[in-house]
Amino acid sequence: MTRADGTRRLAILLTGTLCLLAQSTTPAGSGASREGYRAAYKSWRETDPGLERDAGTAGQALTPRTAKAAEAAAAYGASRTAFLRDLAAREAQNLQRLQGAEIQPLPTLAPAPDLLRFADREIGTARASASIFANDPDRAIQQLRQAFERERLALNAVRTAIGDRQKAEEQATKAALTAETARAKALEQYSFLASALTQSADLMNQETAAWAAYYPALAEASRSAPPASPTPVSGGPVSSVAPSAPRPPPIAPLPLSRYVGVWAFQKGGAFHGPEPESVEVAVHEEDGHASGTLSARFKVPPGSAADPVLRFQFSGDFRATRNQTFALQTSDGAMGTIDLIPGGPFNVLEVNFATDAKAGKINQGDVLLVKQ
Amino acid sequence: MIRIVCFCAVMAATAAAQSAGQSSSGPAALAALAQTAQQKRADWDRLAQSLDTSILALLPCDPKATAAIMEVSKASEARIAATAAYLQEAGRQAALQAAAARSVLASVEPLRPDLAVEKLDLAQEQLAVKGQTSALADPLINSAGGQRRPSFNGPRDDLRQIAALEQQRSDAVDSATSHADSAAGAVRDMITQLVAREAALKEAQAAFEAEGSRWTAYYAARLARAQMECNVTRGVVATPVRPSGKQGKQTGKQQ
Repeated sequence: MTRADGTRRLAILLTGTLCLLAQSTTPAGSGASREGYRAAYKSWRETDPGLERDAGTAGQALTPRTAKAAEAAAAYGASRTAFLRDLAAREAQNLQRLQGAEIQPLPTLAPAPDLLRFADREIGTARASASIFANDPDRAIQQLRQAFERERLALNAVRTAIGDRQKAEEQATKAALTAETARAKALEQYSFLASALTQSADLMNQETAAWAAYYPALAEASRSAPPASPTPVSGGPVSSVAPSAPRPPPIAPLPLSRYVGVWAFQKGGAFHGPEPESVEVAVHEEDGHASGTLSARFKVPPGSAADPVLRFQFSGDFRATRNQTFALQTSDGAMGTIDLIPGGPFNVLEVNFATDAKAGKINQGDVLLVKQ
Repeated sequence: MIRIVCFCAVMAATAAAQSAGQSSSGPAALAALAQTAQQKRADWDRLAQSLDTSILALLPCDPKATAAIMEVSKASEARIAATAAYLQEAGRQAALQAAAARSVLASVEPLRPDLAVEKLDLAQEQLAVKGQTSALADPLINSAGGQRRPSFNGPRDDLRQIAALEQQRSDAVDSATSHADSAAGAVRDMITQLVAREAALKEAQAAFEAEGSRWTAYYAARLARAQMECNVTRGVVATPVRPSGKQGKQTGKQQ
């Protein structure tokens, strides 16, 4: 072995080792590693652990701290989403491989029944001809009879071989059908698997966006918070029914009556998306917290299996914004959001909702309602 | 550096795999072979079915009779060769399918521990969000003169939404784990059946080869009988000899 060969072998060995090391922390074919997102997570969580604790007192000083934390959260979110996307992509690739691997039974290239029929017919002819000459003493005729006999034996051998081959083909077809059934099952499970992994990556993406919204909201809340008074440590509990307790300051920029109350869809009213037959929304408020229900029936095409009825509950805190958004949950468990958008006239409310897609269910709508 | 080296290695492997894939066009090649085999069978069938009728009108020593038998025999050989080629390719592709399924299994098997780690990391994230939510619920933050401070409602809602998203992620990981187990089980079953199919195809191939040689022997016997018919007509009788034991071979020579 020359020195150059030795160097080459060493380089190959080193390359292989490096690849193995890289693979140990990285999903196959991925550009994002678990170690990478873990480091980003640690860095984020160590950036400013006291942010929420200080939010009540820090005021303006919290803003640069939240900006820093938001940056670290975004870096982590990107790294984590990339990791999950890689994981999902790997399984999606496997799903594709399974989809393209249809297992076909053997086609009928040499149909045994036809061939057997042919052989039987020829055997019959040879046998009949041989029997005609069976008792003929002529030597030449006897030789001809033997030729017929040999032909018949050859055909019998063909017949046996066809039967053997048919059995082997039947085994292959049976195995192909069973394998195809297993492939169909694997395909179904892989579809669910790939979909769950993709969903996981999508949710992480949404979570990254939610963190991006959270930190500015925290900074804003800290800036606008009145100085906190420490909770009294002596003097007994504060009565929750004190008649003189001041009302909470207005929450939304518009009067709460623009949201609170019972609202209904008027025939011929404006809508976007599925056409409603009836919509009724009830909104309540208590201590700045909203809760309510929506009950609606939509027009569905004749013969459609879609459920025309939609019911959900929603709740959340009023915010200092004109449009109010609350989390909702439908009667069959789907999650979503509802926007309450005060209209131009005081007695009009636009309601815009979206829920997780469910087969045969209305999952979004936008209607103008009138106060009842 | 590691990434570059690995990327180059992966690209080289991908290129090699693509090149291999192109050289064997897979199902398309198989379909073409099936079509050829069916065509050859139809050709043979047409000739074989009409052989007796076409010979009947000829004199025993008419060379057209021998030619007709030879033509059917050749068509039979062509049919056998085409079907054998199909079975050989089917066997090759069955082996490739089994190898591909093994590779899918090798990929899904390590997913379970991956997902378990995923779940642990997620639990840590959920715990951290709970901590943040508790910190925001602290009375110093949330009370001003005994009242709730609505200014913190927004961030609290954001954290609630984040917690909900994390819970959904956790559910998605649970679902993935369960389906990964089922998928691995189904792929294992599939591999078992593909291996059985591969073996059955090999047997079918061997059985068809045996059948092919029987057909060849039959047409040799058929030709020998025609020859004998001619000899009898001419009054030529073969000297009796000990049978050679091989079918289709003429057992005598002309006197």
